[in-house]
Amino acid sequence: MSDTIVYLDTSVVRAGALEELKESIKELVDFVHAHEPRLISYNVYFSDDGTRMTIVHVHPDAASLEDHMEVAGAVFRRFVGLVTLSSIQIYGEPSEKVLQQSREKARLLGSGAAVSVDALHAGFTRLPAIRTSDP
Amino acid sequence: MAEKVDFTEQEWETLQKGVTGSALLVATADRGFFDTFKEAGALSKYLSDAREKSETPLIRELAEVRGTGFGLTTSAQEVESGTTEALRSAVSTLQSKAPDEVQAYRGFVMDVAQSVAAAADDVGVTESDAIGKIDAALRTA
Repeated sequence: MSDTIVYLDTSVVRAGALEELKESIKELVDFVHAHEPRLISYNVYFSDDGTRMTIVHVHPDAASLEDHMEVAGAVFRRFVGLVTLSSIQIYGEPSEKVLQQSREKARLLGSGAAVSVDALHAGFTRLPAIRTSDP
Repeated sequence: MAEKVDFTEQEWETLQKGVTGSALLVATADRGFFDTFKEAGALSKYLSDAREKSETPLIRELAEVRGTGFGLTTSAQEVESGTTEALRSAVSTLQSKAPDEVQAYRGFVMDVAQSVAAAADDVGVTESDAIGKIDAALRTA
């Protein structure tokens, strides 16, 4: 079975916050890239109308997601006022600590955002097929 | 020379919390928590350098810490009280179990705090006050 963990969260962009959010997110991506060498991928998407932001990251295992929550968690407060977190979805088998960290992030940025976990049923991961260069 | 195995799990967490809490205390002093990525990056880089270059085994092991030791929703007041408490407890533990390491720990904590303060766009009175509180806590154990 794969230990890979996929994390996805979706937020509503607060009115008038899009440009500042986009700048801050670029800084966050640079920060994560520099300080989390085990992370396989970390990507941020915006809807066409700029009202929704989705972040997707893929980790080799639960420890990597724990590490992300510890290291990048230090700057999550930067996004209070810029987004309202709607949901956190985790695919795989996260540790109890990750679940606690995710619920805390949901309280910080979403005041009640749902945290859900879906277990792996079947599949595979081809790490060499993942691009390692930046867009 | 003392190493991680010489301390209980709780003692070790307190030693690390004193280090990361000091960084967070300086960061919260002005705009609030790690408001700039520079401050958070400074902590991470300082710890990374210490892991590789510190001459003290204890400091190299302490620098393995990740995160801040505080929750995402912890208040600034809780950071201050939790950090100063951890620093006093950490120094007291070192004085009892590894007195030769007290000075290295004090120096490590102060260097971390000053590197975070220096990463801010300007080091103001509030950051200096925070560093003063850290220094005082390290000396009152």
